[in-house]
Amino acid sequence: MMKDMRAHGLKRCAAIGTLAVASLLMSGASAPQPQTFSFALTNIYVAAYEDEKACRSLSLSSADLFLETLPPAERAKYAAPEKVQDLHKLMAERLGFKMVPTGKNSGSNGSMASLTESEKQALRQKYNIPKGKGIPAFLGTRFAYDSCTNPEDFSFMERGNEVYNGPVAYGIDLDGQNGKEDYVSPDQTPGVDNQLIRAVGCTYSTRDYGTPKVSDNVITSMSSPTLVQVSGVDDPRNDDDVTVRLYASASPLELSGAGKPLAWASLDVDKDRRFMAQAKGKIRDGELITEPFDLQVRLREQIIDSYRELRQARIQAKIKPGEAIEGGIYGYHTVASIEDGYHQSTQVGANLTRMSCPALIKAVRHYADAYPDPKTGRNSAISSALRFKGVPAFLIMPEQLAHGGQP
Amino acid sequence: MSRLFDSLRLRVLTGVIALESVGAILLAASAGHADAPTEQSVQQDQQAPKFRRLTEAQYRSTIADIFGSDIKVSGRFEPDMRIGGLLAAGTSAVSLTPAGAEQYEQIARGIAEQVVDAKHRDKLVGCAPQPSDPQGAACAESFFKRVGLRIYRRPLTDGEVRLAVGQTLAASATLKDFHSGLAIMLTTMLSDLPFLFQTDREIADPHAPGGRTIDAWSRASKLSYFLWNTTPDEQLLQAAADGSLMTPAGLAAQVDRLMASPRFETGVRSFFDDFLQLEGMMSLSKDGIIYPAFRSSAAPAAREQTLRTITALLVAEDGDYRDLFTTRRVAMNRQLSPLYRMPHGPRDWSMVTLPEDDPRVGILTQISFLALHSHEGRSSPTLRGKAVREVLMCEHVPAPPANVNFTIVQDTSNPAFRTTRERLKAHLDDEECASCHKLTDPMGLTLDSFDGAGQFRATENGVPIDTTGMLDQIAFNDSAGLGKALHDNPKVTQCLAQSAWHYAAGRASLPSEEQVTNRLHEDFARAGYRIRSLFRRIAVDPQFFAVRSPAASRVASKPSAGKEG
Repeated sequence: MMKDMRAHGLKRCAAIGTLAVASLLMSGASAPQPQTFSFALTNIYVAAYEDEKACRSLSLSSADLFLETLPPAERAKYAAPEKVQDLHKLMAERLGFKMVPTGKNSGSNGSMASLTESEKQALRQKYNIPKGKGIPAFLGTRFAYDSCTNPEDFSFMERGNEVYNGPVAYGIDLDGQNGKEDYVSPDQTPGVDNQLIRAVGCTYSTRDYGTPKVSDNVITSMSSPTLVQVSGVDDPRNDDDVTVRLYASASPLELSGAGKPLAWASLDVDKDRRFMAQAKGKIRDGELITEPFDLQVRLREQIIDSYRELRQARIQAKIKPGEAIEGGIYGYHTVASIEDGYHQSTQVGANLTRMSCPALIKAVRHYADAYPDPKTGRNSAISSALRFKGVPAFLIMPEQLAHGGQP
Repeated sequence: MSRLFDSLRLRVLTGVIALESVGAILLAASAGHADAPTEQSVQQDQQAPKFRRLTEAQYRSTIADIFGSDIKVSGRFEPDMRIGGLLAAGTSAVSLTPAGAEQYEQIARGIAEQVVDAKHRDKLVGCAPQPSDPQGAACAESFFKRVGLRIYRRPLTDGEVRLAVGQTLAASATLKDFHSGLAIMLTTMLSDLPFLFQTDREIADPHAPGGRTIDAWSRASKLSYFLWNTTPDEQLLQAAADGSLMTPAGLAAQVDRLMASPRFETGVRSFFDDFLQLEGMMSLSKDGIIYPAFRSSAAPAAREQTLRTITALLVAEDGDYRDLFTTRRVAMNRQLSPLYRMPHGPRDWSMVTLPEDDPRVGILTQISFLALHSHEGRSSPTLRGKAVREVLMCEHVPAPPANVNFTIVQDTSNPAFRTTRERLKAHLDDEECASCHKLTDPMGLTLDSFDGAGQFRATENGVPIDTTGMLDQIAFNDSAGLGKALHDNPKVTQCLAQSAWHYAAGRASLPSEEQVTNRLHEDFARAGYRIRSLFRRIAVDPQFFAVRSPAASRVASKPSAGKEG
């Protein structure tokens, strides 16, 4: 039997803060009421500025580095591009990489299945994986040991990374200083802090897939997109006081009949408080600018259930009410969250994207420029610029679901 | 009808298993029985067809009811034919093509093999050869007596049982497997006319001396397929067996029982699915570039939305049929909510009430109607208006001449004609076109604030959409006004009453039936336009079981004995 419920009146939703709706649907009333805009972000990615001269060459992949260790005859045998899969196989055999089944299914909505410590230990013993090594991978369906899960065991792969030396990079001035390491933005604003692009900006995947021209049309974290709600908007063009909230979606992003992200879908807000964040902001000429705030966004891909963590992040984004949001998240990306992504990508991901996890992790640690660890003195975060796009969405709050969907 | 036998003969001859010829013997036996359509019987009464082919939905639900929902029905069915706006009315006009007969046989074979397989035989066959019954004759007899009643919707005659058992045993001996022999005989029965066709078997009317009516088993089938869209259940068959279904009280008791069941909702759904031609949603496609939100799942969901809305309002709440055109309540789910640009919290269907200022009012503003009666990449006031006239008001709108130039209306980017109204106005400069468009466009243009996928739009090419319109001299400003005009138009309720009658009778409109449908409409009005009342009124009406057209029947001249529900 269907449960009768009142359709969510838009003004009502905004007022009670349980549903986010778009201004286009706001009907005229005698006293203007604050509006709420909500979006599902269809991608968040490390943005690379298109500059062919910025890299001396592409960074070496782990397979490139392994190939260099082979005797000349063997090196010649595996050097040809068409032999790359054989090379990957040989690398795995020689270096003792493992990718073994755990007997588990992935969690709900593409989340990581949990493995107890004793289950991990049993897998290590059964498959001859070094003690204390290896991690659950492929959303917990596999247990992996390789140069990405345990880069410390493959230190010969730490070299070969090229740094990004171009003058232009995406980002903003995070520290209020214009240092010699700073870039200028694509619109020539100086003082851009973005050491992350310096560290990873010359990998094959960043150069080929990190540019907005390509990445703006790619969907990321499809099974759990990030949701953005902008509330308290009196004027979508100019408003000095709005509130921005971030959530992870418990529902997958939906696609349109044309295979593009579907606008106006109702998406459940995930109850996981790690991915909830809030900041004050303002809108200037249609651009949202938040105050700095700490945030985590979920990164849930086909084989990864990870996260991006940024400190003192600012969101700057153009809002087209009822149509789209597009902009960036600029802040200090924690090294730990970057490394977690590399670990979970495993050697499979490294081979596909032609990267070397040990080299990239070393570079990120090297160029980390903020939040020194009180004990070690090493910086634990790195200045960065992430770009994103999003489509209008309706956010369904957990408490709303608990009450049968009624606001 | 001889084509039926030709096709069946062909089916027998082309059977993949030689032993299947046993089926022909049984068929030959039933051909002489009152079940089988003959050339003579058809000629005797052209206006009252006695045979109605099961629709695909009826076939599937019948098999599920007899053998269980886990029995898969695989295969392609013969296409149905829409007559007088109803597929149900076409069921008495369709036959079996040779290819169709083969398809039915293949489907039947698949069902029979599942019924006797190791997974199902204990439950569905219920017996096997024993030392005391080494060939399984007793088992086969028990099986066919029990299952034959459900398949033929009447008891098998002793001769039919003997024949079925004998041929089963012969086939079993040849195949050296009892259950294989059983499957062959079952395949034959499921390919047989008494199963594939509802049959009206004529008898003397015990309550009208000199009159004729149909027997109790035929009554049971008519009632069940009308009210539940499936085969009679055991209680209904029992009422046929004990004769109570032939009495007014017994008939009323069974009708009330059937209508009190949750399965009555299925019957009402089936009627409205047919009446509103919603099966068209299953083959509906839209241009994904123009309407990206109209995903492949949207059309089936939109069909379901309309049917759920109707059954919630008319069955569960026993509401007024006319209110379907003015209601702001609608069934919603997350597949459709993006097209409505509204949030939907529940993860499944639920009824929602649209705000008072929402432009959507009534079922005409649901995606199913708006998208079905549009083009792939643009709206169509003409198609929508035509559907209102033909589907909801049972009027006829002439087809356009073959040589019409549609260039102006098809070019949605012409800066000289930025709205549909402007384009149609230019098109109507042609007087030949204008006469028919006057019937359809004044109401269709009111719905043009919804695009070809049924999404709301306030403007087209930057120009505000004018939604004023008119229906039968009633002017209105928007879709709410159109809904009110339909709500108040007697042609709308008259159309529903006569369509329900034709749906139940399974045949096209007859001129001589006008009095019957007029009385039906009057009673429908007196009952506050309640669908339950209308269905009950039909189900207990002696005319429903009459064997002649009303004008020719003595029974028809009698006032209805049906009680209001």
